[in-house]
Amino acid sequence: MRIRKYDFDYGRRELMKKVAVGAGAGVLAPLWPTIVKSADNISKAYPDELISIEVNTKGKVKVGDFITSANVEYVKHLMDPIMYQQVLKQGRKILIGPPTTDVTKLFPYAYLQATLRNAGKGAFDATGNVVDKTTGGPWIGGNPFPDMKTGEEATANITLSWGRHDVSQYAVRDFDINPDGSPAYTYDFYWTELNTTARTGKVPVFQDKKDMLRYQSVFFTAPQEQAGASFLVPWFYDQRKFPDIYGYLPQFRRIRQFPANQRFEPLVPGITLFLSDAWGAGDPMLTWGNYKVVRREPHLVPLNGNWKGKEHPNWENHHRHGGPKGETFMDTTMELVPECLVVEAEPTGYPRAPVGKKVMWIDARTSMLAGYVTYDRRGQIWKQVEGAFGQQVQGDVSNNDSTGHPNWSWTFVHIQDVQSGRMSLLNHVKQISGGYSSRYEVPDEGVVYDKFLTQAAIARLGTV
Amino acid sequence: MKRVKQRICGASMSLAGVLCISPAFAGGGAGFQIFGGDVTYNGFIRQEDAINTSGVAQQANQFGDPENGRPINRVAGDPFTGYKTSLGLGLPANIGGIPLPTLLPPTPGVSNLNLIGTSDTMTRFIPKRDPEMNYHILRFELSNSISWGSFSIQSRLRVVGDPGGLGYRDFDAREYANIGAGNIPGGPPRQFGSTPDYFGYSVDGKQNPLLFERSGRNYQVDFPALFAQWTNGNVTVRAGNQSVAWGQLLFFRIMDTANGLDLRRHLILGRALEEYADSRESAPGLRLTWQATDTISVDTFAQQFIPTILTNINTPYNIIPSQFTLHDRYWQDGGYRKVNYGIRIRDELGNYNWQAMFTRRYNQLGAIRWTKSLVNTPLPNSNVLGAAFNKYCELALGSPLGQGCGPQLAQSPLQASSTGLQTAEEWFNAASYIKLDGLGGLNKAVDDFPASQQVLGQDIGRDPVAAGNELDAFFMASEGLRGHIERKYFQENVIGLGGGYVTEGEPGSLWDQLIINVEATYTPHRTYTSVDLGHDFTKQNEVQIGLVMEKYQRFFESIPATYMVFQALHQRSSDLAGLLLKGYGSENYSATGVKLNANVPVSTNPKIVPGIHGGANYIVLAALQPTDAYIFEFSAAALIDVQGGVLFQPALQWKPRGNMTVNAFYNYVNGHAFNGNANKNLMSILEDDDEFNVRLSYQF
Repeated sequence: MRIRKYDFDYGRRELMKKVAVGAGAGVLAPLWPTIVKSADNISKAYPDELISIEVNTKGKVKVGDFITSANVEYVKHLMDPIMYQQVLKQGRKILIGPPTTDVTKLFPYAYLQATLRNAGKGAFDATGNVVDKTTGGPWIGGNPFPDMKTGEEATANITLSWGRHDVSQYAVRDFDINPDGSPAYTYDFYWTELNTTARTGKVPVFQDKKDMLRYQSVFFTAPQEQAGASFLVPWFYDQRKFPDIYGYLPQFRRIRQFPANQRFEPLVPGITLFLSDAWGAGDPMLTWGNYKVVRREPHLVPLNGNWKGKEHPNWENHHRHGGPKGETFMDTTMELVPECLVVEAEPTGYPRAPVGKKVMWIDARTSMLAGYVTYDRRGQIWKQVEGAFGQQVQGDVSNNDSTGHPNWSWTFVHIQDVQSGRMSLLNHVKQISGGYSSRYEVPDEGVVYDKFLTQAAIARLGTV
Repeated sequence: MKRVKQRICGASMSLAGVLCISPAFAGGGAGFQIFGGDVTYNGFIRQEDAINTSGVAQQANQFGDPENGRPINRVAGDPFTGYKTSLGLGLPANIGGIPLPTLLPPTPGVSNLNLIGTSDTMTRFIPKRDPEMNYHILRFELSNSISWGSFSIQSRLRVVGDPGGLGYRDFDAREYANIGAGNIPGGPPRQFGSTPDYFGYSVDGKQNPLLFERSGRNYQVDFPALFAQWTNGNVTVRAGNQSVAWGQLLFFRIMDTANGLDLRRHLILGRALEEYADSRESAPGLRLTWQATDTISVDTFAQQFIPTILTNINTPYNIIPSQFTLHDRYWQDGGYRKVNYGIRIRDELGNYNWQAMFTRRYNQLGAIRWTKSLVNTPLPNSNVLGAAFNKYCELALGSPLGQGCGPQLAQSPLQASSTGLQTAEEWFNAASYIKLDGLGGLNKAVDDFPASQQVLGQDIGRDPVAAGNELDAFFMASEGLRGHIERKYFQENVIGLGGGYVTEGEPGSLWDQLIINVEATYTPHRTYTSVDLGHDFTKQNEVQIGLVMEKYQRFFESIPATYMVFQALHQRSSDLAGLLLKGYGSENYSATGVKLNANVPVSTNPKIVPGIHGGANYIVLAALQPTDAYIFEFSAAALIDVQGGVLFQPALQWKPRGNMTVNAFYNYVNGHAFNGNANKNLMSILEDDDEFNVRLSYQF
């Protein structure tokens, strides 16, 4: 531990000042130049109380401790309101892990390289869309605003590349929990996203689709009632436009178009996930508005240390606890993130959306979602989406990409609807029924497009 | 670091080398490998029950025949006056209430018989028996796929069982075998010879005509899907048993021309929001789908022709009057060797879409006409007229001694049978119910069959009184006449165009994100059942135009959006069931004012097949309201025949757990909601199908 040169609240005071003046991240030093200079250690940018949980809590909580209802008061200021209640009232326990000061472990390798390569080239055009200001064309990969200062910049960093791979295919096993804590539903689904622009690879625009941002589809493989239900959502690059939604529903045996603004509905019974919830930025960013950074603050975030590839062959997290029947929460490791932008936004493009406001905690180092809470139209707190992001490493086992670097992706997601008491536990697994496997790079993206991202594809994947 | 290599299969040379199972990946539908292919399966078991709340059996069935238990006077007509007068000769049946002697004693159901047996009162001896249940089946379905990259084999197995009884009122033809001429059916024995054949599909000449189905009286086992699939980029080929669904309209099958329907299980009365998921018939064939561009997709198919499978007689939802024997010529005419094929092109252009299709097919509905019964059974000699006719046939027409009029009837579309029609009133009511011409049908049964004329059948023109006299004469002589009809299939071209638009209005308003689709098809020279069942089928051009408007609207912040559908369909020549509109609107005939259908006018000079002009028009209104997390879904759907009929279905779906689903819905049918005459709308055919349905599903 370094010798503390500043008083205990120095860091938090400085963060609040930055909000007032709209400055970039970092307290002791600007964060982004620090990352550019030494991405493997960004601790120089922050005082101790923003790096060390022990300092932050005046010794009450240390790495390796569990946060329980007995000591949650010491970290209440590091939690979103729902996480706090989960620990205080619902028996949730959180293991505190060591802080990650090596930023290279918080990105996919190629994405960080693109962010470094393209730093300074991102800008908003007159329509509010992100462009490469050197060409005026669509974004060219990585975070367009690595030193984000506004809510729009932070949200753009997430929206333009959700999974931070040019192509991602997630095998997802979802366990939904009833309000009484009992298991309710289990779904297997396969989520595919393919960026056509804002890409990190050698091909800057996929199949010359400059007007599109991505193609995304989800199809269910189990259980029987939902198996074969599939949805295709092509996203326009213009973030003012609603994506089309096409669905293949088992009962109709054919593709039907759905209204583009129905993004606040569960896809299947019992699940608390809406399309709008994806990465906290599930809708085109300009269909939301009134973005503002309301705070900058440290936050407890599940990052590395949550992947279960060593202990479970299918990467599933079966360690549960809490809730009425001890099944509501997956065991989670969290760490102190020194600086998060707390960004609020309102669904200005959806007058009838049930959501009145969303609050995103966005990691200042990576611009990745670190916490997400929604409020209903009455201003009552509604849902929490808590995604764990990190490298696919557990102990001496890792799942590496073709360059030999550990793959980075999301690991699991808790989505709790506190008004209904329902919880969805999404596991990013190795494989789901049907042999669909998670992957983040493919030999031929065109094959993925043809196989998963066209209307013919979702019809083929549908119920027979 | 070490790269994780999780091997699903070991490199064993044992059986595991070709068949290995990794339970670690099982769950929620399970997955494992066989022969190196990824296997997935899932399925469900479902109990499906429908409680009859109409209190009556389907009117087309023997136990639901409205004539059952109704005394109806019959007077035989005089063939020598063209049946314009009766043969009653004014002879009374009784004097002062005391029955007079008769030449032969009354046969079952007959009273007030006059001396020479030419007038009487018939009370149909088959009782009216009302079921408590319309439907109770246990269903098992298993979907399975095994895939090796771009090649896969996919299947869906369906097993359905119904033990019969348990609240049904099963008619058994054998109980009436010793009455009159008995009940030699002339059709497939399983369908016509005894108790109802709930699931069997047999046609004349073939017991199980479908390659992928085996069915019997109480079971059905089939593969609605069993095909190999190969994908190469933007092209997908499927070879095997499969179904093809085209078009945007729900319930209204305008472009959905590739496959017929299997109506055996629950007719069209299943959960409305499932559309035809269970009833769309699959067929062996080849399907090729090509995603030509990002927006244009091309879909083609070539499949074996398989007809729409109708309900069997006396099953709970039967719509074909059970006094008729249907001879399905699918096999005998080589229909199983025919191929249907078609192509559809669809283009999505942002808020717009268009599609065009062409199908050359054998119309799965087919067309029906009179056919020779080929049943050589003499008229019963237990009544005077029957004995007289038999003697006439033997002496004048040369029938072998003892065979009476059997040889002639065998060459006519009629057969003496205790389960046949008994009165003129019953004849006219059955004809009008099924949208046929009671007068024309009688004439064609005579004109198209010389043997009918030999036994003194005559064309009575459009004179209902003469028709009544003629019919009663033959019904009295036969002690029940079964009609024999045949179903044949004809090729046609269906040409279709469609377009769609998604509106952009004030965000959140009713006019925003309204999905509108219009589809139209034109079928030149479609072959229909003639309303008189004549030998020459009716050929007419058909035009179908449909509109569907769909809207998801959030009315409440706390519960998910409401899904609403409005649909309208116009058909120029025929109704939803493929029946010609010119057969609509008949009134019933009765010499004595007997009203077998309370919702159909009756007189001695009824309007027969006035038809409806300007086409048939239908409207669908439906809405679905899920609750939070979709645990409950409330829905309601109404099919309105603007000529006066309504089918309304409120429904509830409850998902108490992931593997359990409970469905409850009620089918309310009103075939006389407005417009005076129930025969002016299609719903009257389903009038007796009010029922409360419950389905309990366990899925895995």
